Parts: sequence; structure tokens; C-alpha cells
Amino acid sequence: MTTANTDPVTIALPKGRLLEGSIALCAKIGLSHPELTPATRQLSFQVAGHATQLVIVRDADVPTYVEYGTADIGIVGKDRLLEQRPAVYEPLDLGFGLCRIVLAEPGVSRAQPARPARPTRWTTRRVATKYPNITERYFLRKGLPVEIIKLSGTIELAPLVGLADQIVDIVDTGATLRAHQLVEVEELARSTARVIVNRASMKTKHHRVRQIIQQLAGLQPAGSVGG
Amino acid sequence: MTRAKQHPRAMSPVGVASLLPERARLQRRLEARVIDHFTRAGYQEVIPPLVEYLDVIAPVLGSGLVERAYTFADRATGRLMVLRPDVTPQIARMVAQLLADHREPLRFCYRATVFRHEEAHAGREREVMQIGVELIGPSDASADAEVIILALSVLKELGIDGARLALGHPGVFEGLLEGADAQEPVVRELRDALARRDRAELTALARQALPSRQAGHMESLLDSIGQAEVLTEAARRFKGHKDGKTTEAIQRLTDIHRRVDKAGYGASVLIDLGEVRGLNYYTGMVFDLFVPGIGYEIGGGGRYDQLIGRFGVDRPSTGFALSATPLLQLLAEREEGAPAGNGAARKGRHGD
Repeated sequence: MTTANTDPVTIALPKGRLLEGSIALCAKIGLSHPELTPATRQLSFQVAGHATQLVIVRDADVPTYVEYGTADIGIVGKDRLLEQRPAVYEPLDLGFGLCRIVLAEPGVSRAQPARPARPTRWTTRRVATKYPNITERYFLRKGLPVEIIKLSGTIELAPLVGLADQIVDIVDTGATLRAHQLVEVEELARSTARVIVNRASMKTKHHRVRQIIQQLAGLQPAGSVGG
Repeated sequence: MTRAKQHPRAMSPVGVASLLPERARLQRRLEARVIDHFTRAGYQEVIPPLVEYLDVIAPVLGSGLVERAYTFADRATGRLMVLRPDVTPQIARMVAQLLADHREPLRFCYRATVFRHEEAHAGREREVMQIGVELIGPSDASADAEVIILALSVLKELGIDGARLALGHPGVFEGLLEGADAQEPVVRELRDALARRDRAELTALARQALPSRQAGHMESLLDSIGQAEVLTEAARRFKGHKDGKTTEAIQRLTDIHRRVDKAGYGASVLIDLGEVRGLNYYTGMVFDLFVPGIGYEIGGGGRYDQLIGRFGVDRPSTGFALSATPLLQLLAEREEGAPAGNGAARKGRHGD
């Protein structure tokens, strides 16, 4: 009936750009496995001496695993949470993996767009993105009609080949935008890696889950938790 | 341009289940055992209709439910009808319409399927069997404790171990906003951040919108989760504070917890002062039920003192509902996994 620090937990780590940082953080709180490296092909790891399993899944799937309770805890980018809005808790901002989600369009600079914006000519603006929900909410807030074109990658190509007028995409240094003569119109959101927790696990295994969150929070530089 | 794609068409809608004999028997047995337990506790079964008029029921539906409800036109009047998306507002309507002069406490229970449009999410089907109770009339803590004890005792009756009831009170959060002139969009963002336990966001918002002392108290809700000591600590922390509503809510929760503990269910209750989610008709304590092996709440409830009032009849109420699907899943797993005579099969015999 009671929850103890020995409750078994499963933690989902995201494949891709956040994997290395996630593995490093887990190692710092004693959750490691000899085979667990960013290059690993193995997908599931039992941590010796801990009732803890680590699994590696696609970053877009981390919220799903956690929402269904298959994993109790997950590490995932805020961009995925904004896009998918899963019914999970997100108690901790890990601070790493910073990137921005921006609206961009062809041009040399904001002052010199490739095609001057002429909203009077737009019946519907076409926007290519891999974040259709974030994009839809942004334009809803603005009260503007939009046709969203869902792509899976190389979003920056879409305006260059005439598939879309604008894009909503993730930007790290901005080099990709510049390389494709795209300029930022507006920042929609900032994203860092977050810890997410299944709502039932937070209640039924709360000592263990809380312990892990506090250990991870303890690794954060002072002040970063406060955002 | 038009390419007539030959899509294979679904033979039955997404999100609804067809139960074959084994599952049907299990579900009916579950319903009977739960209803039997409620009946023995003094709750009489009522049967609400499948459809209501939308304009009548819409003002008392929880936030977002109107948008997710299935509606269609009434042939005779052209008024919009709705497939019931929630039972509690129906019972409120029934009481206001049919039992307005009845002043004694009413104890009702029901089993009914509700219909809501859902995208694919954990634990969300479009047709959900709910089995629940409403206790209409009393406004005191003993009524809140009564339904909590009923919720935990019915799970025990079903042989489901390790249940956890997460208990909170929206008044805690609302009280902390008193005196600060935070605007509605900010309040909503604060509530969302707290519901997600998003410390970074909540801290940033609270420091912007609230005086520092209140902001600190708001942040402390994130860590106010645990056994009864959470209430003692919160009472001390908020003491002498002008947040009257917060103090009242904590006193109420303390009173409820003491009664539930006395009945032997204290260890199953997890106080969670950050629990603000749920349907917006709740005005008092709220709770969610969790059991090991199911990744989402299997039920929940709370106090809704103004709901029936919206039909012009003032009647405080409290209640809860269980979702049949996760319970069935647990019982079916046990039936398939465990030898006969084990667990549920043995414990559920009383009323058969």
C-alpha cells in the first residue's frame, strides 16, 4: 500500500540531439549501464543494483510512452510538449538542449524580405512545419487564416521550391536559416529539455519519482530551475 | 485533380468497443458489484436519459465538454440535442426539475456510458462507461469524507490493492490569488502551469503576477504532496496570511482527512495541494483515483456546490465516478493470469 524508494521505475530517453545530455545526467545520479552510449543500438537497459530500467525511444514518442504509463519518467524537448500537449506532469527544466521555434520566410533581412509581404494578396498563407499544432495555435491567436503543410524534415526547403510562403521550424544557431536565405519573422517559443512524469506514477510511486526529480534538480546550476 | 481514393472504410467508429461474451459478462458483473456496494451504502440507482437538450445542459458542462460533445437536431423542434457527455450535470438537472421540493439528502448512484470526442490519448475512449454516486444536500466535510470512503471501499471490495486517492482543493490556489489583481489570462496560465507541475513556468509567472510572499506560497504548492503532514505544514506556512480561502480549504481538507483516516483509509490518501485540474464545476475538494498498473486516473470526483444552483435550486453536492474500462482491464488480467478462486472471484461474492 505504501510507496517506497524501491518501486521499480522506467525512464524513457529521447533519441537524437538530447540523447547525449540525457545519458550524462542519468549517469550523474547513478543510473548508468556499460552499453548505454549515444551510439548504442540497444534500446533497453536494466540498471544494476537499481530497480530502474532505461529505454531509448524516438523523441516524439517520449510523451506517448509517459502518458500511457509504459515509462514513469521521460526526458524530452519542450518543443515536443508544446506540439503534442500530452497529459503529463513536467516538473523540471533541465536547461540543456536550448533551441527556438520560429516563424521564418525568404529574405535577406527583416527589412528586406525576398517578396514584400502583401497580405492583401494572400487568400490563405501556406506554412510548412513539423509542428502543425504549435503553428495552428500561433495563427489562431493572431486571428489569421492559415494552411498548414505538415512535413517531417528539411522544412527550410519548402519556401525555396514554392511549397509554402513561410515555415515554422526549430532553430539552434540560425545557420540553417541563413544558408537558405530565410529570415526570422517571430519567435514562437523557446525549448529546453524537460523531465516529464506520468500522472499515475507521480501518485502511486511518489517517493521514488520525487527522489529522482530532486536528484536531477540538484544537478542544475542554481537559479536555472526558476527559469 | 480529384483522385477518388478507395479508402477501406471502418466498419465501426473509432473509440467505441464491442464486447463479446467474455468481456460482456465481466463488465456486467463489475457493474453489478459496484452498484451493489453503492446500494448497500444507501445510494439508490437512477437511470438518466441518453440525450439532453444542449441549451439546457451546456451551461453546466465542464470546460471543453461542449466542444467535444456529439450533437444533432431534434426532429420535432429543431433544437440541438446532445449525447450525454457527463452524468453529473444530468443528475443536477433531474434534481432541479423533479425533486426541487425534496429537502432531505439524496444519495444516488448510476451506471451510464458517456460520449466525448477524443483524439488518441491514454485512457480516453469516446464511449466510456461510468459508474458513480452523487450525494446531494449536505455541505459539510462528513459528506466529502463519505464519498471518499465509498470510493476507496468499493476498490477494496473489488480486490484492487494499492489504490491511491490524490486529494486537493481548488480553494488553495484561488485563495493565493486573492488581493493580487492578476488578470484572467494570467490566472489561466498559472493554473495550467500548476496542473502540469511546470516549476519553471509557474515560478516565472507567479513572480511576475503576484507579490513575492504569495508567489513563494504558490511555488510551495508544487512540493505540497504527501501524507497528512503536508496539511500540517501548509497550515503553518499559510498561518496569519490573509488568504482566507486558502486557510479554509486546508482546514476543510484536514477535517476530511481525519474522518477518512478514522475509517481506516488514511494510508490510501495522498494529499496534493497542487491538484487544480478537473471539471470547472468543482467548488470544494477534488480527487483523482489511481491504481498500480494503470497509467491514468481510473476515476475521480469532488464537491460541486453551485451546479444544481444554476438550474435555480440551491443544493450543495459531492460525488465521484469510476471508469469501467481500466477496472475491467485489471479484473480481466487477474482472471486470465490468476488461478480460479483468487482475488476478485472470491471477494466479490456478497451480493451475488
